[in-house]
Amino acid sequence: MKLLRYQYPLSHGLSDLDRWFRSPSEGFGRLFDLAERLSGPAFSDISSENFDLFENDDHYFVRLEIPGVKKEDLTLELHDRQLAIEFQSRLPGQEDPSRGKRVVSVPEGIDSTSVSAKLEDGILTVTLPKSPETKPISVQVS
Amino acid sequence: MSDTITQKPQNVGTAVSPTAGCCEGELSATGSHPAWEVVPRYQARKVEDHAWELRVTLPGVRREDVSVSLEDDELEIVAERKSRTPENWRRVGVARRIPDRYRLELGLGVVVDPEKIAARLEDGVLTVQLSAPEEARPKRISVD
Repeated sequence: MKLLRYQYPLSHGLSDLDRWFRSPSEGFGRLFDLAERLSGPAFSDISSENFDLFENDDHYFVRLEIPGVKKEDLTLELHDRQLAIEFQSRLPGQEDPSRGKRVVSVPEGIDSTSVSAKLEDGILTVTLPKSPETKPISVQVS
Repeated sequence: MSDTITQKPQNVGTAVSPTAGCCEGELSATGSHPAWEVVPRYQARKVEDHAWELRVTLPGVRREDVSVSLEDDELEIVAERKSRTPENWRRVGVARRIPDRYRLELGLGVVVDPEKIAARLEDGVLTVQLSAPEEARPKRISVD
């Protein structure tokens, strides 16, 4: 019986990656071409992986990672239970800003008159106070 | 509509060290769990001949908690995300792992000038400027 060495079909799809790993000396330009393809969509795009919702007794907190977005390029709108977060980010070398929008359903029972937001180190935190009827009531036992 | 709070496993920052003892469920930075390290998202562009710019997303990281180092042609970026979820915050919905540390290692394949590496962290994005040393650039030779 004749044994043939199996050839992995690396020539499809992974060919650039494969070539690059085999001969990194081909240069930095190659890495950066590769990097652009690997990093996928504009990295300020909001996706569901970077969203968290927390609560304590008095508030809900929506936290969203939006690195690269400046405060002045961010708008927040709360309508009923829908919190709309719109932003744009300007990357150097890019003529038009990339825009993103995320609509988040927030729980019922929010005092919409005193919602506040803070943007720090690329993380947006929206603080939504619970309305009095939503807060837990402690009952004194006499 | 994509407004639910369902979370997929973190796939942008690929987990590289799911340290032993890790558990399912809540892994926010509050608990006493092993450090969770991910590869951050990054993007690169050529600024001009022999000069490049690398941008790395490091949300929640402060300037003093980032280190950029170059050894031979290996660029390493390590960043600690020290901002912690307050103790009295309870998660609503599905748990999501929040990284404690970001680590990016890139083999550059060419020599860059270590003296000319400049890094800036702004709004959760680290920008690193890299350039080839003068002696490694092609020389234009004039013909008399």
